[in-house]
Amino acid sequence: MGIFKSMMNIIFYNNQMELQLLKTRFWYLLKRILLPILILIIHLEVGLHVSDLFLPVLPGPIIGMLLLLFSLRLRIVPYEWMKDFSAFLVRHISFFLIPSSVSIVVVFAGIKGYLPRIMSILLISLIVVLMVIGRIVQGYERKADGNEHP
Amino acid sequence: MAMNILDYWGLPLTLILYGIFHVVHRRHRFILLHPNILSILMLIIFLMTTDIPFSSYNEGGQYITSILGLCIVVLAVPMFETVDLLLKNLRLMIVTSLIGVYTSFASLLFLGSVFHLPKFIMLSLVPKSITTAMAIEGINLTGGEVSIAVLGVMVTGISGAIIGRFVLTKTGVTDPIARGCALGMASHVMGTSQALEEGSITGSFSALSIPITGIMTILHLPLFAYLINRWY
Repeated sequence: MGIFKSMMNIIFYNNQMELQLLKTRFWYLLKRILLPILILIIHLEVGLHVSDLFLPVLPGPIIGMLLLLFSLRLRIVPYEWMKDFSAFLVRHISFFLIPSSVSIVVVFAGIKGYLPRIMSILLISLIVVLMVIGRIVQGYERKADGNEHP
Repeated sequence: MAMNILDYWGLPLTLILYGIFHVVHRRHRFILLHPNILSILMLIIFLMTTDIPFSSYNEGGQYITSILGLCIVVLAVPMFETVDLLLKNLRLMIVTSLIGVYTSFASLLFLGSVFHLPKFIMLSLVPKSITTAMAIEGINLTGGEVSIAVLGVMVTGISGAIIGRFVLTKTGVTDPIARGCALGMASHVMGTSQALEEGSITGSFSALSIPITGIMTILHLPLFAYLINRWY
């Protein structure tokens, strides 16, 4: 009987442990994944509606982003809730762009002849922007440093 | 017409390809081996060789695209982490990003008229220095083609990551803040990944300039589209 009792004990104990584990996992799931998703969806929806009603200049998701920034800044949404999930989503953001990028096959025949020109334009424009911004910011920083330490 | 679950094959195929190339990228840290680029190339080659129409792939792929809005909203969190630095340098960042946006547009317009590009490609290439997700959202404002915009953004990003630091060194830009701003404003996330290798100041200023440039560019998109339609 002793063996049976201890076996029951082990099973019962283990079940308690598993239940506890399940509960913590459930709360973890709720707090770290579902809650951030809900917050993101609320901000996105508000942003889309604001964009539709008042501000057609900015796309809805961008307004949602600015709203979330304000909510985080004013501590309406605690940063701790968002940080893990947002780090995950930002790390894999390029995955969500794949179908839009693959849609180039639809127009590929039309722009095939222009591809070398597009590439060279992008390259030259990139170099120009890099040089201009680099030189301007460097000049500004040197001027600011000069004012601080005359 | 009965809907079959196999019609959505685009979704699992993209997930599997991305997963595989993610593991490959973790082993070999080389910029051209980025999982995004490899998956896109593989899918394009696959669709072109098998003659499967894009709409068939997009049956499942559209669900991936529909999450893009959330991905833009979530960019607020990394922005929040650097917001103190941003507020400290607000004037510098805004003025510089404005200069960057106008320089980018002016060079694009000039080169486009030199190379005789058609109008719809010009309209799609305007948001070339901002994050891809923002460019996809913003492209509706100019009336360009989404896929050409993505092509422009990715070519700018990758080439900026490869030659950006070299160009800056050749131009004589040594200040870390200046290098960070230039890399972030010219070639967004890819440039930032390079800037992070130079140090924390360069990296954080580069990360800072991505959302600023994005918002500034998107605010200017209707104006730029009008200018191209009117004068180009």
